[in-house]
Amino acid sequence: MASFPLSVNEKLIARSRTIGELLAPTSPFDKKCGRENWTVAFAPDGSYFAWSQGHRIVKLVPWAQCLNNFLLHGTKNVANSLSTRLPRQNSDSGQKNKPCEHIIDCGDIVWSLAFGSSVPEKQSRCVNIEWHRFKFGQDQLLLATGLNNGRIKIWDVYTGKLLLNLMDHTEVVRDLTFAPDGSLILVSASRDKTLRVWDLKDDGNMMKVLRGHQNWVYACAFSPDSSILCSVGASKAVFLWDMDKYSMIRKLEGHHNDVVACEFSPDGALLATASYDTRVYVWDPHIGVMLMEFGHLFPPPTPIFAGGANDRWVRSVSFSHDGLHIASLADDKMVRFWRIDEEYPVQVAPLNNGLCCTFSTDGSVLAAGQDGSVYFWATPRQVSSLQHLCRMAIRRVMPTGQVKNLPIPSKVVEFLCYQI
Amino acid sequence: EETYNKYEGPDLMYMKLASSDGDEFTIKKDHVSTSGTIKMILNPFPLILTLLDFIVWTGTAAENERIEMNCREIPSHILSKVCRYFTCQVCYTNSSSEIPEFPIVPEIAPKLLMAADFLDC
Repeated sequence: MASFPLSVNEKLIARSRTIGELLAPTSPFDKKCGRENWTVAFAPDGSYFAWSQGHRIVKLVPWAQCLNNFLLHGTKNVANSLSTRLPRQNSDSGQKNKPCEHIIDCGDIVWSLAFGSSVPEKQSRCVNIEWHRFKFGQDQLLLATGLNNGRIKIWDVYTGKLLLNLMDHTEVVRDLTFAPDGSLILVSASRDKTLRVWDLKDDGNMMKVLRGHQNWVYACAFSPDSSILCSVGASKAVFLWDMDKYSMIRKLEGHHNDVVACEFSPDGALLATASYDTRVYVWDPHIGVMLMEFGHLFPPPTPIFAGGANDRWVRSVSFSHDGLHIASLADDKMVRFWRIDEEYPVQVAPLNNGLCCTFSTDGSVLAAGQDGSVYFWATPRQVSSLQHLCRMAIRRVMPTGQVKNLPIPSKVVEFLCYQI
Repeated sequence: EETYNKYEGPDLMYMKLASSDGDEFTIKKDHVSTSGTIKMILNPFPLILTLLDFIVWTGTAAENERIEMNCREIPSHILSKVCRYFTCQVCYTNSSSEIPEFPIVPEIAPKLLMAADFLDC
C-alpha cells in the first residue's frame, strides 16, 4: 500500500526544513497518565504557543522567545533547559510586556486546547459587549483546556491562573474553539454527542447545546467571520451550523469513515476535513460542494476498506495563513504539505505517532505533536500570485452565492469559487 | 547615474506601462517579468503578433527599441497597485525574510483581479 501514487517519485518530493523541537521532560516514576499529545495551539496574535505534554500538564511558552531559542541554540531543545532561559511566572506581575512561560497542571488528562482573545481578528460581529464579574481588560488572552472528565478549565495566559471551571459535558471534551471575532464565545465538542456554546464574557454562562450528532464529536471550527461553525465526528459526520440562530445549515456527505479534524481557509471560502478514510476533503461550505481531494493511500481504497481499520488514518489537517497551503498528518508516519492547486504534496516530513498539527499564526511554521513532544518545520512559502491575493480579499467579504452574481467572466467566477 | 538612462538602447532596463487614463508607470524590466503576459511580449523573438496593438514600438533598428505597453483597460489606481505587487514579488521571492501582508481593499479587488488575470501574475 503506497503513500503516493505510482506517477510520483517519492524521493523527488522535498523534505521540509526542521526548525526545532520541544521535548517533554522524561519522568519515569511519575505515571499519572500516558504521554499522548492530543493537541497543540498558537495564540491568535502569535504571542504564545501551548501544548499538552501528557501527564495532565499543559505547557505555555512565549512563541517569539521560543523561536529565538531555536535559532540561537540549534534545533534540539529539551523543555527543561528552556525554562531556565525564560523568566519564570511571577504571581504579582501579570504584565503583558514580559511574557512568561507557564506550566499548568490541569488535574486530568487534557484532550483539547484553544486560545481565545478579546481582541478580534476581524471586525466584531457583536455590537453589545457586556462586562460582568470578570473584568476582562482591553486585551485578555485566555487558554481553554478540555479534560477527560468533561470539564473545561479556563486559564489566564499572562498569569497562568485558573479563571473559570465549566462543567456540563458528561464525557471527554475532544475539541475547543473560540470565535475569532473577539467575543470570547467558546464552543466545545464532546464524546457525549453534543457541542456546547459558552459565553466567557458572561461568567462562562452556557448559552446553547447543539444536538444532532449520533456519535462522538471529534472536532469543531469557526469560519473566520464567526458566522458558521463546522463540527465533525464519528459516523462520517460533517455538520455546518449557523451561529446566529444556532441551527444546522447542512450536512456534508462524502467521507467513508469517522471525520476527525476540520478547519476553514483564512478567507472562509474553503473547509478542509480529515478522516480515517485516508483522505482530506476540501469543500465549499457555502454551497456544500466537495472541491478537492487529497489522498494518503494509493491506489485509493474502496469504500469498505476506507470505512474500517486501514492503517492510514488521517489525524489532523491545518490551513495556512496564505490560504494556499494545507498540512496533513497521517498514520504512515508522515506530515504532508500540499498546495490546494496541486494534486501531490510539495513537501513531506517524517513524524512517528503524530496526532495533531497546526500552522503558526503567520503561517511560517508548522507545529506537530507526538508523544508529549512538539516538532516544528519551516513551511513552504512564496509570494502568492496577485490573482490569489485578490481572490482572498474578495472571498473574505463575499460568500459563493454573491460571487456568482458579479459582472465578471465565468472563467473568473470559477477561479473565485476555487473551482479551477 | 547611468542606469537611469537605460531607457533606450541595447541594455534596456526599463519599460513603461500606460494606464487607461493616461498615467504612465516606469518600471524595471526584471520586475515586470513576474507578469506572464509581459514576459511574452519582451521575448526577443516575439511569436505573438496579436498582442501588437498593445505595444508601441519606436525606432526601426533592434538596438533602439523603446517599449511601452498601453493597458487600455486598466485604470491608474489599479495599475499602480500592480506595479507595487511586482516590486513585492521580486523583493521577497527566494528571500528568507518574512513575507509581509499585501493589503488589498475589497473595493478594488475585482478590478485588480481582472488586471492580474490579463497580465497573468
